Amino acid sequence: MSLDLPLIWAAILAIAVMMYVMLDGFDLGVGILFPFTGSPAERDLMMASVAPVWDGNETWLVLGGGGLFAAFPFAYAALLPALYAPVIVMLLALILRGVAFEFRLRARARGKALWTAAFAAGSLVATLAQGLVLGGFIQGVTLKDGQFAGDPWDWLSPYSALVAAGLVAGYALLGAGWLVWRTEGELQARARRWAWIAVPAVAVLLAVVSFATLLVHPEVAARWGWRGCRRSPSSGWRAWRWPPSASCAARTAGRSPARWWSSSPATWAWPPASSPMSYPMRWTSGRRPTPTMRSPCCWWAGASCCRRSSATACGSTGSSGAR
Amino acid sequence: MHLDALMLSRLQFAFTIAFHIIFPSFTIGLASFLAVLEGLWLATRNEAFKLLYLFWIKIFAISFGMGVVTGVVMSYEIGTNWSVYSAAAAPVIGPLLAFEVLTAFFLEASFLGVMLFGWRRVGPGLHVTATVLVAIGTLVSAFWIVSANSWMQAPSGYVRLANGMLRAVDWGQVIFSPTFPVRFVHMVLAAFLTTSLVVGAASAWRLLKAPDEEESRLAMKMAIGMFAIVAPLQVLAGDMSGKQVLQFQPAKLAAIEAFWETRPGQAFHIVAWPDRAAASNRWEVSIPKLGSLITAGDAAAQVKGLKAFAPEDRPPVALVFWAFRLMVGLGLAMIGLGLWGGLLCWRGGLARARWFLRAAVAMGPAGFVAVISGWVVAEVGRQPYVIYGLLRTADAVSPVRAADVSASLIAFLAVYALIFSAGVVYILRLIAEGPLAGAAEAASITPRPPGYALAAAPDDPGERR
Repeated sequence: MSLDLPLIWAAILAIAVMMYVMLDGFDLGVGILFPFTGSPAERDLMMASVAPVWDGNETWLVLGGGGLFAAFPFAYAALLPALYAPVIVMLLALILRGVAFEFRLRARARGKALWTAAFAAGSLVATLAQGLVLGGFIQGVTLKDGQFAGDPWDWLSPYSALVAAGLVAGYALLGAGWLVWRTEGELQARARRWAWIAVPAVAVLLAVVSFATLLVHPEVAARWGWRGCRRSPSSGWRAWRWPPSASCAARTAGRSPARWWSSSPATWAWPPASSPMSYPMRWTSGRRPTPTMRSPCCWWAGASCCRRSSATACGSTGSSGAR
Repeated sequence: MHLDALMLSRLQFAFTIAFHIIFPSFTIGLASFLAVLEGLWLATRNEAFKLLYLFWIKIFAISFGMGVVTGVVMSYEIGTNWSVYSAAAAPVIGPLLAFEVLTAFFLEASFLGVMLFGWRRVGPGLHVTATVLVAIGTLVSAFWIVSANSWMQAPSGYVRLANGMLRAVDWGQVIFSPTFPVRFVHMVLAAFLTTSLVVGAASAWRLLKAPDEEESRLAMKMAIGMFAIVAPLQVLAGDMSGKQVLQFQPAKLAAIEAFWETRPGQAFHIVAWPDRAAASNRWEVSIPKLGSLITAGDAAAQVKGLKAFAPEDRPPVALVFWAFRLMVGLGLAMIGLGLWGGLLCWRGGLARARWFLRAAVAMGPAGFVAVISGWVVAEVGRQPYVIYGLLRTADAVSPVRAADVSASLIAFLAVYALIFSAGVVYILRLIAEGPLAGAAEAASITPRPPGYALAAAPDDPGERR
């Protein structure tokens, strides 16, 4: 039987990631927009509009984790310890915002204020943590014998912070788009204004992150014909990750660079689950990957297409994975 | 106890999973209870069933939400804290968890929306179907999780590759590993017991205040019917499970019973103070021969003691011993409560039997305590292995630092303490109000059922209020 199971599972997980980003993206986005609304009544309406679906949306996240565990255990075992802090922070933030849906309805005045804050802060922090996970994943993870062997703070860098900011803008745009679609009148007008703010923010951050990705991975830049960008990995993207800090550069210099990284068309989606897209390439890295331009898929808020077009070259020239 | 990354990871996993199991063990039973209530309402058109349904669905919504968010943690924590285990065991365990997501979670998540938000929007046929499907989803979820855990307790149907990876060769044997069927029944019965005790306690609380409340009387009788039947069955299931522990995990059984020496006709220790360092019990209160009779079914049978295993292969004894006794003691109390309640139902005067009602209130949390104790027996008793006989817990941990794990453990403790206390307060508040508080809500102008989590929303999300 010639079923290419890694490819099939990569596709399943890519779909899970895409669904998660689009679906939980809008309900997290609604939470991000929570502090900017005009009245408590509007907040109730915003929350009520996502209350029936958030649980189903979050199931895609469980599918991403469970599917990665089942289909690509090495990636799962390598990435999650490397991204320990942001993953745990994401889970805690998702807990606080998840329980807020029911608790807010049951609480009295003070409790309601607490759960309103928990929903807004939880949504924002979960998004930031997902962005840091994604940024840390695109940067790469230091491995030794298939297990994480880097510094626990490797995921934190200007690049991952930039990605996190981009994700906040993207989810806010999705949330605004959802509210434009599902509400009317004053709240809808407000959501329209939010969308108008979010669109340029997403566009700018998209451009900046796309450019920064070229700096982080000169191999990708080379594939796009930016020969000038090509530098040796040790001086190039590492230096860019921590431009001002010589000590950090020194810290990373001594490390054996058994780095496994990749940037695949799906890397702009949610990271642990997008890794399978690159994971099979560990075995196919001998083949010459073709840069592919994804046609923008116009989701109503457009944020997800930004995600997809940013890192388009599936290069793994510089690294063939965990050796 | 040395607090290294391993011990902290164990503490964190134990805490988060013990906290998580509280909610499934309640919602598995409650979903089935809701399906029965709605079915009975549609069949008899007795308004009391409808009121009870709309009352308990509010509590279900809170508990289910807490179960979802604490469950998401589990699917990532396996990777963050147990990456060596993940890499080795995922080819066998991973698909079971993936099947759970695909078969159970999506079923639940899809129909939960209809169940909680569709009372006025879909017909009764579709609504009851949604409730039944959510109930089935919770049971399917339990199926896969207990299957995965049972495989780790008594692995079968796998091969071990040269690089230490495990690979399934017979999925039938992996899914239906030898201890799975009995453990699944044991867990589902535990969930039904837990739920019936909570329903009983809530109804008893109301009856103490308003003995004439028809809905609470009805719910009390349903709860008694459930635990009076299920509690004795649970003893049988537990006994069968114990026999399998003797066969597949003799060290765990020796720890459960605090047997140190291997000998025929083991005594049953009612209480004891096991001392691991001295490899004996400091003191014990025992019944001769009964230990062998209970564990092996024969008073003369030879049963292995802990000294038959190397010291590094012995599980912690005192914790397993006492957790088991707590579970069994509560189980016996549940049987007693069932007999008492059954007698009162038969003789009449249930709603005014104040001492029984007080006892039923006191037993409300017993199911949760028994479930957690039972899992402590299962999980601590299989130490030092995470996959029995194959992978030691100490070898399974992620390359993370103790500092990071202690920070995350403290964060989990703080967040869970907050959401647990809030959740308990809101549920108890609802229970104190009782099912009739919802009736007033239902009669008011709002077109929503009182169980509606979306009371503030317009009927159509596009509609302006």
